[in-house]
Amino acid sequence: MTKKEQLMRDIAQTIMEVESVTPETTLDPWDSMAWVVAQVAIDDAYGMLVEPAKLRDCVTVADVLRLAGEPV
Amino acid sequence: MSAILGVVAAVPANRVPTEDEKFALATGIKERRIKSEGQDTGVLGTIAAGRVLGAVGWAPETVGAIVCVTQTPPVRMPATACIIAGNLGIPAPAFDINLACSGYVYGLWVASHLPFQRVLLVAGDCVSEMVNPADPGSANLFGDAVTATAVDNSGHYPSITFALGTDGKGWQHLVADYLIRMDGSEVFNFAAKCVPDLVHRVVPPEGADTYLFHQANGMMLRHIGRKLGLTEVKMPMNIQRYGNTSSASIPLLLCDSAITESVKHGTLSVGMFGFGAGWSLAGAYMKLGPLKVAEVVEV
Repeated sequence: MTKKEQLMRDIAQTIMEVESVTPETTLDPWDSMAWVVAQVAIDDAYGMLVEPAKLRDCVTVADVLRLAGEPV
Repeated sequence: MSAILGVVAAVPANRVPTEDEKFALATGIKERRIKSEGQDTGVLGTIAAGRVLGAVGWAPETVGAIVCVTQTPPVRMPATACIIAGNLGIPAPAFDINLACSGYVYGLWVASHLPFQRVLLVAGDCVSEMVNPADPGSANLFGDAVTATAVDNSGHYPSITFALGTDGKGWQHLVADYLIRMDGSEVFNFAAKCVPDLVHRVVPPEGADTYLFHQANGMMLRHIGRKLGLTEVKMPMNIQRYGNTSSASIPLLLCDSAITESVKHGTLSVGMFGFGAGWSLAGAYMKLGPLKVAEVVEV
């Protein structure tokens, strides 16, 4: 499993509680706990801590992937 | 040199389960103890302190000082330590330290450097007084508990290694004026960035038998554990039963976790790591046990 696949799986199954997501999937509505789960998932997959304000600006899964440094 | 002789935690008997299943799953918090009418930090602290004094065999008049770490004093004046001194008849210097989740280790550092053989360290909060019911992120997170630790400075013990620090730049992300305002994402970044480094600064290369982390949030702790390569056996948790109890959480681990029996009957190398409000953090490494008492008292 690639880092991108790992992050998308965590977003889908841990945060959004759906089978899968695509880069075009919109994130709304995420609560404060969901954002922290996303931070954990990004740090687990990419070993990086993202700025919370930038993460909260993300609208789609693709935005999160870009923030993690993943070309989309 | 100094040593912990015994620890007692006083917790309210009132159990409040976490109704939000998703929150419980993420944080690991299944229930918390919330104070009842007539209970406060001074009341719980007096009960814990009285119990630990009896268990270690210290008469009140032999206590050299009382240090109380709390951010929820029952009154603004006097210091909670003075109230506890009065309640227990301890004619000794008594003062408070205003710190939250890093506070137990700071208190231990202060207690072990005071020029008295016997020091009583009280640490804990009734954080439920400060949570905003409209903010489930904090309302479901915090529990009430106050602990008392008997610190012996008689000089017959191995030294304790301490590391203390503050990066106050993030203080505004975890604030209580009247109610707590917390940005959980910022707290996570602070902890994930700073706590592994704190552990490496305190624990010797051969490692510790057990790592006692402030019980901030189960998801955060598991993540820090992964970063450090620690198994769950090495880092006991009890956040599922008490929630985040601020400065009480580390001593509460001594009183009620997978290591309680081990520290009551044997000696362990122990790392303690507190971190939180004010972007304050503190670590300690010591040989601990056998303790004369390590127990929870329901009030």
